[in-house]
Amino acid sequence: MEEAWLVPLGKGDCDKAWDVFLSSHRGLILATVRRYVQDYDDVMDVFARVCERLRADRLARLRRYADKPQDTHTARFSTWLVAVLRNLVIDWFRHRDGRKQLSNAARALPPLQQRIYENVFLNGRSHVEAYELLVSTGEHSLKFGSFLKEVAATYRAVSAGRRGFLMADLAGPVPLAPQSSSEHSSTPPPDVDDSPALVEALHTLPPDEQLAVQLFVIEEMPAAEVADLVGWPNAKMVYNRVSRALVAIRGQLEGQGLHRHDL
Amino acid sequence: MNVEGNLDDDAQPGAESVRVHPALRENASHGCLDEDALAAFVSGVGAGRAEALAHLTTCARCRHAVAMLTRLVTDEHIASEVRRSRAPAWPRRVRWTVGMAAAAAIALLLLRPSRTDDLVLPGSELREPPITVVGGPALIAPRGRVAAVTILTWSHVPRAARYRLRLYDSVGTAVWENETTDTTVTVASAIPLASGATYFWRVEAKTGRNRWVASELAQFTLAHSGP
Repeated sequence: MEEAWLVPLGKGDCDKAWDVFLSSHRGLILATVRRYVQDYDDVMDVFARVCERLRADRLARLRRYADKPQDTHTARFSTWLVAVLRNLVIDWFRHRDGRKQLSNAARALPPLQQRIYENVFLNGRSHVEAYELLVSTGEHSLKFGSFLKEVAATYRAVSAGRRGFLMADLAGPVPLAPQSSSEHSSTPPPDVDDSPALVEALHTLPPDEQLAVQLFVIEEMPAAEVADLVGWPNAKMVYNRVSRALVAIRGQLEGQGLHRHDL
Repeated sequence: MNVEGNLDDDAQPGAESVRVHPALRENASHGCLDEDALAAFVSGVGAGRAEALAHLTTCARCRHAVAMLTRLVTDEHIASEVRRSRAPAWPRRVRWTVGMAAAAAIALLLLRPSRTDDLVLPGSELREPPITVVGGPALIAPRGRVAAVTILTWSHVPRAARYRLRLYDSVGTAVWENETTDTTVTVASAIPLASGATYFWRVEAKTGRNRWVASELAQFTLAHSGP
């Protein structure tokens, strides 16, 4: 179905286009905002901000969609709109209230995880940078592998709270598990956050299996949703193929002298 | 595949900001998926799907975006609003006209004799039916004139992950929609079914990603209550 607001927008009537757009999609915008925040005041603040951004510059955001030829749109407008809303909501928290929101979330963490939180989440440092800072200041004398485990625990703790969804989105991708050489060494990998051996082993899999492992194991998505995304028929295939892929990865790592207890 | 132009186009100059995590900055100019491409991938469509999939295996930022967007669009409340926003808000007069036309079309469909034997191709009786010809659910009850309706029942469809039921009133306006993994559903008490009124219902079975097979449209009429 063609979006009704495209008609007035095509005629240059931005006010009318906005009215039609908002009357059709107010509920969707509010539902998306509520997925991130629940307090009424927060919801209305973010809603107002999102509407302001969507309406800015004569509906510039919506024009990005409208200006593409209709036959080139490959996704439903609603899915596209949710993708846009997600970016706007995250930007709102990242640029305005991010520090305050994140600080509140960190209060209950143990001291080491609070420091990791401050460096990785608030200051946007890489895991390697954060590790170097913690070790160089003499605050903590942990190995890099143990540090990465603490990083993963911090991600989990932050994502489990009342605002877990918001925190999980703000936090970004979770790091892969450390490898044994890092676990027992104080020298982190030179330029990557994730275990190189594990990443290398993962990349030997076919692309769809790689993505399935990454989404199912690392992003912890439900198997049925992973199946939909990678184009497999059902969740059972995700269980089977991911399980076989993990066995293959384990075999490769063991071939390099790395074992389950090392990871 | 689309490339995201400027990740920080909403940045507020001078505002205290949280630095973007390096994993979110990585690859920002190396073929990352923009909103359109992300939405297309999550919708399971798009010509550049293979490219997008290959990119996602190497880009943690886009993978995270796909995961979060999937969680959003599969959220019960958001999905409900999406369905609502797709329903056309037609003026009353248009609704009546369309409703009458729909009723006429329904009557034609119900009266049309079954001609499935026309579809049998030479030799095809020896083959397994392909997945694409999985039929829709058969609506079992209620049908015709009934005293009351508390449960709607239909047949199982192989490979169906879930079913979506829609109930329409006599002019074709959807009065109730429900999704379930079962082949029965209890009519919510909040749905006031008027005695003497005629309703139509249809069930769609989800047999794959963005693939639904629909039943025929069935009709039932609630008998007048009382003496």
